[in-house]
Amino acid sequence: MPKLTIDGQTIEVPPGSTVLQACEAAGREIPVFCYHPRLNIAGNCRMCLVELEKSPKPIASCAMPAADGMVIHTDTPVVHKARRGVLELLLINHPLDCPICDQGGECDLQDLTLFYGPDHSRFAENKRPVADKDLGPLISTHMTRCIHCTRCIRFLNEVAGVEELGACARGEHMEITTWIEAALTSELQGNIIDLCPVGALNSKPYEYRARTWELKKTESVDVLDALGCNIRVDSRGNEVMRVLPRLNEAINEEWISDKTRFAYDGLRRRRLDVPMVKRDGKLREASWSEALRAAAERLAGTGPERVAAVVGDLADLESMLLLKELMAALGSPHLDCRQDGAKLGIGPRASWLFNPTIAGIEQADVCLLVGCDPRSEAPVLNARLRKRWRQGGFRVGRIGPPRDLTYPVEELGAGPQTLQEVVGGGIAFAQALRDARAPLVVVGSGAVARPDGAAVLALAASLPVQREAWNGFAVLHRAASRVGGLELGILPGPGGRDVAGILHGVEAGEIEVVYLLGADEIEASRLRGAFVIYQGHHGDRGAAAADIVLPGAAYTEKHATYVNTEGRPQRGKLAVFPPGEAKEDWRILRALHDALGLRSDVATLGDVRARIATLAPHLARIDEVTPANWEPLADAGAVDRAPFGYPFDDFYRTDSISRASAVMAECSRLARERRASEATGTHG
Amino acid sequence: MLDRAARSFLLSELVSGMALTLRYFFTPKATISYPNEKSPISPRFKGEHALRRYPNGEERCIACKLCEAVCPAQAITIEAEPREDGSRRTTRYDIDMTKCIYCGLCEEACPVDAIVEGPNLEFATETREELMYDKERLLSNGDRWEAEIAKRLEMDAPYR
Amino acid sequence: MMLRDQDRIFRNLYGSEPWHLDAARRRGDWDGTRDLIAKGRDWLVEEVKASGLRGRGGAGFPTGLKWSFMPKQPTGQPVYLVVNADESEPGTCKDREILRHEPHKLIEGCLLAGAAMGCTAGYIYIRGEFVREAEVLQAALEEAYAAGLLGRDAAGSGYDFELYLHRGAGAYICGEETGLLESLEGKKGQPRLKPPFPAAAGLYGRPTTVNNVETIAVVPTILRRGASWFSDLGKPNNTGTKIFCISGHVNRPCTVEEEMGIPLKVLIERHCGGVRGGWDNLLAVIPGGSSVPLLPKSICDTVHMDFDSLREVRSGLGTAGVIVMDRSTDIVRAIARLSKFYMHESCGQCTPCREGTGWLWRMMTRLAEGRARLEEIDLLDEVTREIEGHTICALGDAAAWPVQGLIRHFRPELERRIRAAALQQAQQRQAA
Repeated sequence: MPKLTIDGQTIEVPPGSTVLQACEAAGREIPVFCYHPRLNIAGNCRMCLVELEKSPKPIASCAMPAADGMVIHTDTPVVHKARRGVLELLLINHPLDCPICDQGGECDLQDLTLFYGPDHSRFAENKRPVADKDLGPLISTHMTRCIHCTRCIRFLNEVAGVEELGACARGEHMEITTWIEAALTSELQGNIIDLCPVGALNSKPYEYRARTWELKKTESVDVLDALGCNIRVDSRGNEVMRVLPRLNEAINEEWISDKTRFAYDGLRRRRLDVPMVKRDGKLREASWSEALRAAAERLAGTGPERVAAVVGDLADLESMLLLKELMAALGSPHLDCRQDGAKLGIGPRASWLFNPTIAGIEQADVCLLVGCDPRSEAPVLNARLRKRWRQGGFRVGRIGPPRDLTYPVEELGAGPQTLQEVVGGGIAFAQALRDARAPLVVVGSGAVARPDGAAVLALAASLPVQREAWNGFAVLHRAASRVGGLELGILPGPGGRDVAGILHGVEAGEIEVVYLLGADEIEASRLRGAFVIYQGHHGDRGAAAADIVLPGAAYTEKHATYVNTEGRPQRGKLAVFPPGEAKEDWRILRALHDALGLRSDVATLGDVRARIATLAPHLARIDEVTPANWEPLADAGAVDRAPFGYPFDDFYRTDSISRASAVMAECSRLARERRASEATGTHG
Repeated sequence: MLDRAARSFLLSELVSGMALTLRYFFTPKATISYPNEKSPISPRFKGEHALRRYPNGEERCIACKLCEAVCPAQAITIEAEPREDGSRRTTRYDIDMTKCIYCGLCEEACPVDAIVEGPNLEFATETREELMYDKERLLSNGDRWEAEIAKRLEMDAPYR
Repeated sequence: MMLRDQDRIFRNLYGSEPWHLDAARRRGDWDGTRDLIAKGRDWLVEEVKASGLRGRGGAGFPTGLKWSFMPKQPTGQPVYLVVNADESEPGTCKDREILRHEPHKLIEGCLLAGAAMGCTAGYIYIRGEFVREAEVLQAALEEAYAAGLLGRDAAGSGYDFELYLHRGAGAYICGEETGLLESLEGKKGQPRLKPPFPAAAGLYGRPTTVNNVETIAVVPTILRRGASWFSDLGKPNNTGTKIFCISGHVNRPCTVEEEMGIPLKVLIERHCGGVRGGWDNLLAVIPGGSSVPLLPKSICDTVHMDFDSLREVRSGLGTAGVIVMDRSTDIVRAIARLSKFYMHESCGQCTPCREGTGWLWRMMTRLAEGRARLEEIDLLDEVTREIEGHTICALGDAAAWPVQGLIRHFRPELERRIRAAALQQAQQRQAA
C-alpha cells in the first residue's frame, strides 16, 4: 500500500491507484475534463496537474501511479497557474455562447472556469470554427465547443464496443468525427452526451427546449427493460423533458440505453387520458364513475370461470397485487403475467432470477448465453459483459443465432439440441463451464418463451454452474414487471389458463371478459370475441381491442415498485402527474374493488405496500437482492428441435411507450435501413 | 419687547410672506400640464418592456431564459425550441405586467440586449387581460420604440 | 584543438566511398562484432556507460543508463530496440547523412545494442520523406541478412536478432519516442503518457528502448576502440564526438563530425568558412535545431557546443543543428516561422500544445509586423509559460522555447517594431 503525503496529510491508498485517486481520498478536489473513472486514462486535458516534490514539472495526476513516498501539493501557485493556463487555452477557441448552449448550467468548463479560470480573455485573434457533424437522430453536435477530451471516443470504443468516433487531423485542426459520414449505431450512444464535459454533444430531442435550472429532478427507475436502470427524470411543469442515468454500481453503473434515455417523447403521444366506454361499436368518452360501473357490472355479471386477466410488461407491483386480489375475490383462476408465454415461475424462486446479480458478472470467467441477445434485450447488461471481457480471461459461448454483441462469442449452435450436448458434456465448452471458477449461464426469454420452454429451462438449470457462494444460473427477463409478477404469483391458479389458454378460451367462447393491465404484447386481435377492459396508459394494441378503457399512469407518473431481473425491488417516483383524467394504477383497481362492492381495507399506497410486505417480505427490502436458494429443477420433458429465437428484432420499439415515440421510430427506421444495406452489401 | 411690538405693528411677517409668494409667482412652474407636456426621463428609466430586433430584422432573443430565471416576481414565461434553421428561438415569451415590479433585472441579465425596459410609461389598459404581454406584443413594442431604446442604451453604455 | 581524422567515427560522412558492405568493412565496420557480443550483455552496457555517451536525439540522456533500465533476465517475452530515424527537426540533417552513407554503422550498432539489452527484434522507424535513404538502408539490411550478420545466429554470435525497417508517413511528432511507438503500432502518432516509460511498457506493451540513429551508429566504434578513447574526447560529462549540421548564413553550410565542447565560433569559422560578411555580421545562432532558444552574438562569441555549456546559457545542444543568422535576418519572422512549424506539427492531443501553438503563431505573425500592443510581449511570454512543462511530450516545450529565447534576447527589437508600426498608423490616419 503506497503511502503518500498530500498537502501535508499522509494517506495510504490501494496499490494501483493514481495520484488523482489518492488526492480524492485525501479530500482534495482535482479538476478534470478528460479523466473519467470508467474509461481509459487519456491524460490530455492537463487540467489535473499537481505539484510533485522533486519533479521539475507539474504532473498529470490522473495518469501518474501513486508511489510510496510521493509528496504532492495541490494548492500551490504552480498548480493554480497551471490550471489557470490550461483553462485560458481551452477557452481561447471555445465559443462563449453559454446562453444558447444546452450544457449551460451543468457544464464542467463553466464550473471549473468559475473556480479556477481567468476572468477575462486575452485572446485577440479569431476563434476556430469547426463544422458540426451529423451523428444521427439522437445527438446534436456543436463541434466548435469541443475541447478534445476524447471521452466520447473512448466510451464508444471501450464501453459500447463500436469504433465509430475518432479524432481526425492533428494540432488545432483536430476534430472529433465519424470516420465515414454515418449516424452512430450504438444503442448506448446517448451516454456520450452525459460524458461530454462541454456542450459539443447534446441531446437532439431535448435541444433548446429547457434549461437545467428550471427542471424538477426526480430520482426514479426505468421500466423499458428488465434491468431497472436507475434514472433521473427531469421535468418542467407537467412534462418530462429528459431522462438521465443515475449512478448505481449494482445495476447500470452510470450508463443507460438509448431507449431508456430517448423514448420519453412517447409519454406525450397516443396517451389515454379519459375513461372510455364502447357504445354503438365505438369507444366514447365517459366519466370515471360510468366507466368503473360498466366494468364492475360486466365483471360481476359474468361467471368467474369466464373472466381472465393479463398483466402487461410495464405493470408495477402494487397494481399487480390489487389485480390479483380482485381476481381472487371474483373467484377466477385465469390470471397470467407472462405475456410472452415464458415457461417461468413454476419452479423455485431461483429458477427465474438473475442469481449471480448484474455486478456479479464481473466475477464470472465463463459465460454461456442461451437464447439470449443481451445487446437488444438489455444493452447495459451487455456493456457489463463487455466490460468483463475487456478485463481478460472471459470466455463467452452462445446457443442461438449469431448476432454481434461487440465482443467475441463462440458459436456453439442454434437450438436446444446444442444445449443438450453442453449438458451432456459433449462439447469442449462444457468442460470450460465445468472447470470455471465462476461460470455463468444466461437464459434469455427466447429460450423459455416457447412450448418446450420448461424443458429448456430445466436443461439449462442442470448445467454445472453452482459453486460455493456462487449461483451462476441467470435468467435475463425482457419486461420490467415480470419478476415482480412471478414473485407475487400472478400466475394461473388451479385449473387456470395462461395467456395462450386465455386467448384460446376467448376464441372458443369460454372466456367472456378479459381484463388487461397494460397488456400490449399479446395478439389483441384474437380478443375480438371477448369483452375487454383495458387499463393502461397508451393507446396501443391492448387499447385497440378494448370495450372499456381505464386510463392509467406511465412509469414517470406514479409512485410504484418494480422488481428487476435480479429480484431487486426498486421504487419509481412520480415526476409528473398523469395526463388528463388518468390515475395511478393502484387507485383505479382500488376504485374497481369499490365499484364491485368488494371489501377492501386498502386506503393508501402505504397499505398496499404493507400488504406486499406481509405477502413477500423480501419485496419490501427496497434496493436489496434477497438471494434465492438453489434447488435443482424437475425434469420437464423433451425439447423441441427448433432453434432459439430472440424476442426483439427491433431494439427501439419494444413496448407501448417506445412504440409511441417518434425518436425511437426514427432510430428504428435507420437501423432497418442499415440492416438492409448491409444485407445487400451496398454499405461500402 | 419693543422690537417685537414694532415688528407686529409693521406687519413684517405678512410682508415677507407676500414676498415669498411674489417670488414664486415669477419663478418657472414645477408642475406641467400632463399629458400635453411631459417631464424628461432618465435614460435608465424602467418603463414598458420591449423585445428588440437586430437591424436586419432578426429577433435578438435567443431563449437563454436568464431573464426568466432572474425575475424576482416570476413574471416571465418562456418556451423554446429549435427554429427551422436550427437556431435557438422562443416559441413563447410572455410577461405578466401585473406581476412585474419593474426592477430591470431582466435587462441586466440579457446577454444580447433583447429584453429591455423602454421609456414608455403610458400603457394603462382597461382590462387586466391586456396586461398579459405575449411575444408578438413585446416585439411590436420593440419595433415602435427601437430608435429611443437604442439611443438610451448608447447613452447608458459608458456606465455599464 | 580539432578532431583528428583517426578519431572520426563516420569516415564516410560525405559519401566519398560507397556505402556497401564491402566498403563498410574496409572502413572497419563489422570487425569483430561476434567477439564484442561474446563479451556479454553486462560488458556491453558497462562499456557504453563508461564511455559517457549521451543520447544524440536532443535530450542528452546517458545511453548506458537508459540501456540498463531494460529487464536484465530474459522472460521469453519479446523485448524491442527501436531506432528513431524520424529526423525532422528543422536545421538538422545528421541522421540523413548516416543513413545515406554509413548504413552499416547503424545496422551493426543495432545488433550490438540489441545484444546488450537482450532484444529479440529491432525496428528502424525512418522518416517518410527519406525515400532514397530508406532505399539505401533497406538494401544495406538485405546485404547484412545475406551476409549472415542479422537474423538467426547474427554475425555468428549465437544471438538471434531480426531488424526491420518501417517508413513513417511524415509527421514530426512521430519523432517523439512514444509517438513513434504509437505510429509503429499502426495508430495515430500521438505521444503516450509517461509513466510507464518505454523501458517498462513500450512497443506492443513490451519493454522497449528507443535510441537515435547517431547514438546507435557510434556504439560499434566505441566498443571497438574502448570506452576510454571516447570519454577522453570532448569534456567531462559531454564526451565524444558529435555530428554538427551548420546551416544558414555561413559561407559553406556543412555537416561535420567534431569533438563535443568545441567553441561555436571555432566550429563556424573552421568548417563553414565563417559567417557571411564576417563574424561581426552575426545576429544570432540557434545552436541545437529549431527547438532550442536562440543565442545572440554576445553569447555566441564564447559559448562551447556541448550539453552543459549551452544549458548554462539557457539554451541547449538539442540535435546540434546550428542555424546561423546574420544581420540581414528578420529575426522575428524567423521565429514566427518556427512557431508556424510547431503549430502545424502539434499532434492535437493535449490542450496546451494544441491551443497554445496556434495562439503563439498568430501573435508572432502580428509581432513580426508590429501589429500589436506593447503588453502583448508579456502576454506572449506568459502563454509560452502556460505551454511549457504542461504538456504530455516535449513538443510543447519545443514550441515555447524559441519564442522565449526571442523575448529574452530581442525584446528591444519587438518593442521597436510595435512603436514603428503604431507611428506609421498614426501618420496614415493623419494623412487621411
